Amino acid sequence: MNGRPMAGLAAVAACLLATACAVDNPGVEQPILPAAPDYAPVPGSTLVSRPDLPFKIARVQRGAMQVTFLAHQPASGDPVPVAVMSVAPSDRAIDVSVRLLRSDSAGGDRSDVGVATLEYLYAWTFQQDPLARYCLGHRQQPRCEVTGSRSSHAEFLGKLAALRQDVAPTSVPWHVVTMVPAASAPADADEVGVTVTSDRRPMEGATVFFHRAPHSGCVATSRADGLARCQLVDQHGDHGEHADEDKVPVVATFPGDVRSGRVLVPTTFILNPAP
Amino acid sequence: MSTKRNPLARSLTAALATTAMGLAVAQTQTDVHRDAATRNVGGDPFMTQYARAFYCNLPDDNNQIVIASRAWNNTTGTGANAQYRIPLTQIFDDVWFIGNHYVGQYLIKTPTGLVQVDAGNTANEVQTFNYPAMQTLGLSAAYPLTGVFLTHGHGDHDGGAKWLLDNLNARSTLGSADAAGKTYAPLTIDSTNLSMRQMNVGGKSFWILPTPGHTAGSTSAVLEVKDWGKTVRVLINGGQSMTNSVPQVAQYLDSIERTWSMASVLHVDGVMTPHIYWDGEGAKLNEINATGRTNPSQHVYGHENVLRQLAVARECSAAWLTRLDTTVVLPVWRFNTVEFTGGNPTPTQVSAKLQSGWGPTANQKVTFSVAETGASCTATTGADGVASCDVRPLRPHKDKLTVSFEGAANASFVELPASATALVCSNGNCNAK
Repeated sequence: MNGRPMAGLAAVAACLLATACAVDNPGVEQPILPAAPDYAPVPGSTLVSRPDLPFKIARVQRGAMQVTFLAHQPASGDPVPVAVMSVAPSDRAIDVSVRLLRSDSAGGDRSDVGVATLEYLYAWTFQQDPLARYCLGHRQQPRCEVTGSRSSHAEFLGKLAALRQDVAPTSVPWHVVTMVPAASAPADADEVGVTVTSDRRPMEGATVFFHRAPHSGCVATSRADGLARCQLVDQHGDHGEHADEDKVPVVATFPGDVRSGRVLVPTTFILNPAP
Repeated sequence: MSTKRNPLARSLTAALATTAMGLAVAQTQTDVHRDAATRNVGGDPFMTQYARAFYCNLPDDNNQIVIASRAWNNTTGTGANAQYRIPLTQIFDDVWFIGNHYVGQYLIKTPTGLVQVDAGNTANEVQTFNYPAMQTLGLSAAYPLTGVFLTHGHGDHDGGAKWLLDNLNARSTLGSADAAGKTYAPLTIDSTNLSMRQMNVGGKSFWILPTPGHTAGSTSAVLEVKDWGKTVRVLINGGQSMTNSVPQVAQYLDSIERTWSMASVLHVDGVMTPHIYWDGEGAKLNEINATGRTNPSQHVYGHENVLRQLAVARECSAAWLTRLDTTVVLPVWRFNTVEFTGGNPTPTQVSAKLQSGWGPTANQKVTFSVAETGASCTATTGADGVASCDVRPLRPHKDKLTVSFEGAANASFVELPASATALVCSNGNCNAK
């Protein structure tokens, strides 16, 4: 088995084992791992330039907070945590804190493991809640809870992409796609659209998925001017039965495009409802 | 040779050209997983028509089948709308279905009262249909509705929960992540604890497994029912169908994988899905109402088919996630079967073939074992998927031989485990000693 099928069924002992984190820095809050972390292989990603470097993940639930450790598995010895992501609901939104455990400052770790860490983190973060608030910390900065320092999902992904570019300037470049609301006003609340750009130019042929809770969606392909527009439909057939649907944000998702020598990283954009 | 080719030759040429064109275009990960879902069906037309089609509705760009099914969700049942209803139908010794062709509820008789799975669309629906059904099953002050298990918090599953609380004093149990704002004061299941555990719902023991994805508070369950006096374990899927949300679909995929594990560990044989169109239970209910309940019940799909269906669901989910996130790389789940070759095993022939929708599963270890004596041997499958070895002692007409494959995984594939058991015979045919 690949580890996932049974991973969720194992009971996780909630105890402290700071030594297992391989981060021994007095005065700084240590990440908390269970005594016998239930490591599973990290899901693969075409964003990772060195898939031969073995990485693992372990998930721990602490009350309402979910903590996920990303660890590098050296040739011998135990896995070494390299990043930790904490996902916690707050009063207004979900807060996601990410810490790079091998970096002593905002600057990144330029080793192969450091680059792979950022690449896995990007892939991992992309699958998190696009409506959450994100912040990035490092080894010396255990907390990043200042509301003002938090980023949107797209901003955070952009930061990770920039950091990866900074630490790995000679690797295959990542192109960041950006989306902005379509210029023309929609005919109704179910009509959604974004303008897609890449390298500051309108991007033609980009696939964009739109989602509005609870389960409305549509998919569009951008035109030559970058406009991707479609009409939301309720995917469960409950059309018109959910009150206040038009007051819910719409998430636009660019699913990424990795082809030989060209990497367009996936990202999201939030279309907030009209006031 | 004539330049005028016959129709067969033209067709062959066209087919070859199409194939070449297909090969020239790189297969996307979504295509790979959709193809895997088809292969995991194993050629079963029933599973193709239902589970394969519905679980893959989005990656197949075929959501219209869900929308069309939704049109059957008529809750009045009067006049021409009567066609949408399914009458109270006994599916096991102690379980009855009631609902419409889109969504329904299950009524379970226990020694101390009734337990219901899901709560209908509306108060009017449960008052009009479920309440009289419960009375038929013996509902009284001494035999009450003791509890309601809600698969999730969508209105077509909990719309009648408040009526059941107000009129029958029956509390509903719901995943905590769906419980906010509910007016029927549900007892909650911790949706953040993803482990499988047992809990009591109205006096009935449920194995529960939070399975977020369809909703954040979706919960799947396994329970024991009686089928012609025999205990059978059945799966209640906590919620089917996906959205365009990447985190939700990622959760859904994880939930399907964990549901597969639960069904495997608990050796689930049957299904009780609220959305009966999804896996063909609606057709089974029609059959029961037309010709009667069979032995075993039509809702006993068999352990292999339950797991196969979940493997199909897993591949459909992977197909959709890889469409929404083209950078994620997911191994393909291959559903394996193993069967003894040449009929029943004999002391001189212990041989079995391991295969999947991709053909023979080669170079994998399988173990032959006899529970009664502890005798066993291990062999590796060849290119034809066949493995054989000697198990000693092996007593004809006494020992049952089990062949098992524990499963294997690499970055590209997960070979799912498989096993089979057969009585040892003297000549491969147990009916002719």
